Amino acid sequence: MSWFSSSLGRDDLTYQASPLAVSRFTIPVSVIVPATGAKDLEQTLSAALNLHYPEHEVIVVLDATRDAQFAALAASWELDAREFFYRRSLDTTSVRRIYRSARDSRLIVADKTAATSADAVNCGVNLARYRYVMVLPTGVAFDAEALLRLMAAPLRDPGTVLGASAHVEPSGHFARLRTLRSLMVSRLMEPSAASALPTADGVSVWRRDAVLDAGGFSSQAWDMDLDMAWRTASAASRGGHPGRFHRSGHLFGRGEMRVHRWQRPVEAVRQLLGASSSWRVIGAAALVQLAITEVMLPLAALALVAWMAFTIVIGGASWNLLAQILVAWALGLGAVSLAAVLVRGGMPGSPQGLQLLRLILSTSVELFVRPAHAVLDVRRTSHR
Amino acid sequence: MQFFVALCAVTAAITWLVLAIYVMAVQRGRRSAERPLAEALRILETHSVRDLSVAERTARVRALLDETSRDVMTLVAADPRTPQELFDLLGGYLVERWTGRLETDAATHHSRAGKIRRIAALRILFRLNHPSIVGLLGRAIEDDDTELADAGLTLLGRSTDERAMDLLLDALKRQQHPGALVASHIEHSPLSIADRLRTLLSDAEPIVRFWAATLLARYQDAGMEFDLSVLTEDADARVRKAAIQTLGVIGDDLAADCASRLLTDSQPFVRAHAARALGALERTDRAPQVALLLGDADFWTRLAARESLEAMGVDVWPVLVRCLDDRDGFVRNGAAEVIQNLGVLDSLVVMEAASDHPAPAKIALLRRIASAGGMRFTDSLIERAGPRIGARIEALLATMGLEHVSV
Repeated sequence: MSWFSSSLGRDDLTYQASPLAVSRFTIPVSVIVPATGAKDLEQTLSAALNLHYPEHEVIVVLDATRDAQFAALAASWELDAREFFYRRSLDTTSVRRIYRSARDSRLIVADKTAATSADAVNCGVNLARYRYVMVLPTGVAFDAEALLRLMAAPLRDPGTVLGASAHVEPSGHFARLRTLRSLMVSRLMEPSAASALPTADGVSVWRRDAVLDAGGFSSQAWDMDLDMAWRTASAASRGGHPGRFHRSGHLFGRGEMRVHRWQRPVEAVRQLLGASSSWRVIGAAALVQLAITEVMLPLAALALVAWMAFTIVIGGASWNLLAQILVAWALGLGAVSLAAVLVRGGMPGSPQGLQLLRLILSTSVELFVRPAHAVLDVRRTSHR
Repeated sequence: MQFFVALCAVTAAITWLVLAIYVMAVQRGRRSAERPLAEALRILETHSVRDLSVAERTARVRALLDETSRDVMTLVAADPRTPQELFDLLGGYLVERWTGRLETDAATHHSRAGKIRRIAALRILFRLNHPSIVGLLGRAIEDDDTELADAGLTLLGRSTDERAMDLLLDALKRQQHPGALVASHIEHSPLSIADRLRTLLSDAEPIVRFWAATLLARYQDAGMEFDLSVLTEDADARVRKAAIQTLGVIGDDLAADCASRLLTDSQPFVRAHAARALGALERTDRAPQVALLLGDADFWTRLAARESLEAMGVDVWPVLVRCLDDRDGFVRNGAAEVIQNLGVLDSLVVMEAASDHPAPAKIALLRRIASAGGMRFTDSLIERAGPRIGARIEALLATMGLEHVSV
């Protein structure tokens, strides 16, 4: 009766035993794995190749093949150097060698000169043979139906849907709370079928022609996915076929994404200030959501912190008042997080028992842990 | 200010506390709602109960089932993984205890929870073979909610009722849902509909002809080759593509003739599918015509030609050798890649380049292949050959001025 508990995950009811998982009419997908010194590559590849999807290929883009990682990869997947004449639609650093797996013909490994993550993804887009490309970071664990869930909106409307993203749930309590709040927003936006913007902590799939029209992923962008959503929508609008980005209210999987929180607001400001026709291209709902969550709320938080620091310095407010402000702020945020935990409860793999209790308690102190996370984010980024 | 901040703090604290308790209560409620059914399932699995009749098994766990909420039982019964003998028990109990509620749930919904309940009810009624299920599914696929419509289409696709197929074909014609989605369900239907699809081949709407031609690929012995060959001259390129794609699966000589003709079609995707059809039919006699597409202006057509030649196997070797000296770099590259993927090149290397006295004619051929493939091609060859033979090949090729052909 192992299926019993999972059958109570109401939200997956529609994906169980879908004929789309075996249909030749399901749009094929190229899964791109940019693997620059990545850990867990082996597990990611096995999971990607085991996805229940009728037709997909996996393209690993490595920046350096002569290390132990490549040797292990070559041995376990029986990689053979095989030239493949592809169309170099996007500019990337040169590809030194292309390998194909004798163990699974759907696996291609490209060895290229080292550059940025965007460059690696662009290389994968060049090699991709299928209409949609999914960018899959290593270290994400997912079930066999994950791609089918992510592709639900594109499969329904491939002419309009330029891309789609779904959340990856981290294991740490505080990172998890951030993701759950974002997931709650996705849930609220999903039924409207209005254009959305990619999640900061998710996996995305893109229509290949839209990526090419937009000129590929940018190495200059602070947030690669956000920037791409903007440019694909603009390019599609200019081409006379407006499209939209879909943000799924379902989880893709679990894992620790390399998310640099402060980069997303910077990208959001850059995009909001840079494009005059944003309202028309991106859609009002998505822009308002972006402006509130990525710009206004962080700015308001900074302003409040600055004001509190100032009043402490000049002695303009009582400690009692400052404490009350902190309580209101921390528990207000906590209440929003609890609503997100409640939404998460209806999905498979929701937190139970002691884990749930810890998560609930975490909501009350998250505010005080955030600064430490922000410092770690900045440090991680500067070490890249 | 002081009062306002205090009020906010108190409100936030109360809201947080209430929500925290509510979240815990909901979770506990879910757990306790599941517990009786979990216990019932455990009892039903035991050896002494497993072989009893449905009525007897129901009687053994009735007290536990009475404690189980309708939502929990509905979700478990609706799960396709639920074994048939357990479904018979749960389905029977649901109908007995909540008479009429399943039909009501399956007919309409007003919220997200209601939608999940509706999908579950439809699944249960479908499995129970309820007399009104086709009508209820018909209503579901008319709904604007895509998840509900998808669930309805899925169940219609599994039905053995001819009326279900009527609804699916009607949905395909009206294009209310994506054609590929509806076609997936039609293709996996247990019903045989070759004759119905044959009549749709002459439908006035190109999209209907397209799907009819596409879906006929499932019926290999239905004698549709001639009907489909007519469609290879259709005015709509999508229909020509669908016809030749299906002929590649079910056709024979007539299909090969049609495919050969479509290799020069004005639309690249039709040419590509014509090439693939010849590959699928393994018509090596048409390889020279397919090889011409190695130099097609469209990348996807060139790729299709390469894959088609590869599918034909090593018999196309003479055609590929001729392509190695073509003036078009795309043709030379393509031929070299197919030779590489067929394994011919590796055999040649092992047999000749590795020997002490390689035959001059074969060395010349190796040079031609390497020249056609370019630098990275030869580098791959050397790496594939391994350190010992690779070094010999490297020495051999070092005498050649290889030019990398950019594509």
